[in-house]
Amino acid sequence: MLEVRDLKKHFRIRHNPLARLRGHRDHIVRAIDGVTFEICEGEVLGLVGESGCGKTTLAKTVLRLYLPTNGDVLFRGQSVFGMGRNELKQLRREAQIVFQDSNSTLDPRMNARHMLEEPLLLHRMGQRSERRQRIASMMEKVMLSPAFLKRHPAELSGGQRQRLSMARALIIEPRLVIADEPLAGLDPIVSTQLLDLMLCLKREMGLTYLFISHDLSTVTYASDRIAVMYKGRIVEIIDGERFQSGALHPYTRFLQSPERLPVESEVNGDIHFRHGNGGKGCVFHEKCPNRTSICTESSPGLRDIAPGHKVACHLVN
Amino acid sequence: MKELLKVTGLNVVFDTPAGRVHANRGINLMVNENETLGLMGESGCGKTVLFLSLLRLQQPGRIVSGSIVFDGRDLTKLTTSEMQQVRGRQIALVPQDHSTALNPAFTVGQQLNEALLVRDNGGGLWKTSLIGCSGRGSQAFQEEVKAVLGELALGDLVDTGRLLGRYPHQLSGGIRQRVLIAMALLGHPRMLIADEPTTALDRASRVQTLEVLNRLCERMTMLIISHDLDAIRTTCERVAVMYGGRIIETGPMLSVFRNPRHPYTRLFLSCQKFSRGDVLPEVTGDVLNLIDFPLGCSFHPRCPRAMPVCSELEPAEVHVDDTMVACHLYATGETTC
Repeated sequence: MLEVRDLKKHFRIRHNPLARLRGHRDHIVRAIDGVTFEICEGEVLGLVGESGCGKTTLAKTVLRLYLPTNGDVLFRGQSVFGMGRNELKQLRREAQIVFQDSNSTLDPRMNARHMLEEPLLLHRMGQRSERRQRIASMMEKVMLSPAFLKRHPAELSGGQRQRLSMARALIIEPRLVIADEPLAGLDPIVSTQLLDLMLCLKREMGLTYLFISHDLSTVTYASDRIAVMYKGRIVEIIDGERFQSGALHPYTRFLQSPERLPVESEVNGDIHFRHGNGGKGCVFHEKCPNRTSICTESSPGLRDIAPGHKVACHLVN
Repeated sequence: MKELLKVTGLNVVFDTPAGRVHANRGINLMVNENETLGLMGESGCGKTVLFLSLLRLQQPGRIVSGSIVFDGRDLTKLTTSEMQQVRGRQIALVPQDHSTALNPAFTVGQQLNEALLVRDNGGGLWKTSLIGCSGRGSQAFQEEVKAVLGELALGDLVDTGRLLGRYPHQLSGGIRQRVLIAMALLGHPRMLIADEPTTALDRASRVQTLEVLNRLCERMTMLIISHDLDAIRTTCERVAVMYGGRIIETGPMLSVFRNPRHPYTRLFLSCQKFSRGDVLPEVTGDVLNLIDFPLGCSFHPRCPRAMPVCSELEPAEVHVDDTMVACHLYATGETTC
């Protein structure tokens, strides 16, 4: 359904002249650096990685909210970046995104009804009465009572807001939903409830998910396949069932283990300079416990290890 | 062991246009000296109001009844200026949101300096407004700050000059969180309250923050509020579970985690432990509305083991082995001690 080919997105950080005088040089942040994967119809692909590894940038670039530096994204065989106006509008109908922070992505001055009606109006879907009906049934699907239609985001709890943003994305009946950390910042009970709801809706409406999270347990629970991202690259793609026991990349194994990595630098600016490693060597070589000389020199590509299992590591056969 | 904090029958209400919100209803809580207590509960159950009330920062809420005895003194009866001596010096708070708790317009060094100024001179605005002036940029200040930061594993960053001169936005979340802990520690408090110290942190910095907290537990009294079970498990000796403004279960950490007695505690713990292929724990109902309570036990509409009595009578606190539970299931017969 969706095919991502060698996608790259680099941001150029330009400093103002004064900062340049003080020694801040312009540099490039390689937010995504050559990512290739595909999502099949009806599948849940989980994407995990620590904060700052490029997950959100990837989600936005896939839907052409950012223009890529290189590479291509095919949605049902058609390039997302070559689409004309009408095709793009059709894409926006079929592929929706649920953003990370429901606090800031819902308009504080719109009530729930307006928020749910807006996508229907934009896509010219239905007469007034039909829109009303759709909104009512959508509210029922996400288990919000009709009384909430008059409420503004500030009057909703975190879980309710997140359900409202799900409803807003789903009301135009998309096929692909990109959910960017939908459960972040919710307490365990509410997030379990929401995860359950998302999986129910998937079955009911036949959705395909790209499920982004840094919480391994929910991703492992929900995903058919899991992609692990580190510093703008995908280092491993593996079946959800084999994820716990069969993961091979050292970074994935680190994520699963309770130990921590040696942290060589924690001040943000420095991380950015090293982000993507300038294309030389494996992205993980600085922290990898079993690196060899080849790891610092050439960058490993994603290779098939077994059917449905790809790893980017020199040391895995 | 000596009792440091004892809360008895604390009731806190907020009067709102929609009605009276009962945020805390008869809280009984006890923290021993040098003990770490973990407070768990879903959002909206009154955790934050509870510890704000401990510092008398609960405005616009009101403490209707109950007492908060800290080190032999009842905090609810202190005057404002006496209370000011308690805040920061006796009980210090590490606020929840590390991205908004630091002032973006001052460097980390200036803000740590401010914490010291407040400690030494009292909290008068006219004195603290001098922050940024380098009056206290002296040797003593430097050393004290360095000692505290060294304890929090930030010593190298200070040495290389990459911390004190930086503004909060230049630091990662984990470092900001530890800077906040450092600010609290500079007041030499007897008790530290950490509100959700590990949420909104990624994995690596979360582990680091936990290590720091773990080290601190050994020499301080702490109250850690969190719904991150790992954080509680690694740091706390005793835990308390809160629901609907009441504490429904307290006991030693291992005992509660291995053998949760209250149905709500069971539900809460099961929500973080599921693995692939399990059926998700059934969660019905919404967060409790603290204005209109159901009669009886506040958990009974969602409780899988509700009995007729649950909707009529509010359960009393019962001791079962080494834990305290507020549930009718244990009110009768052999399970009671």
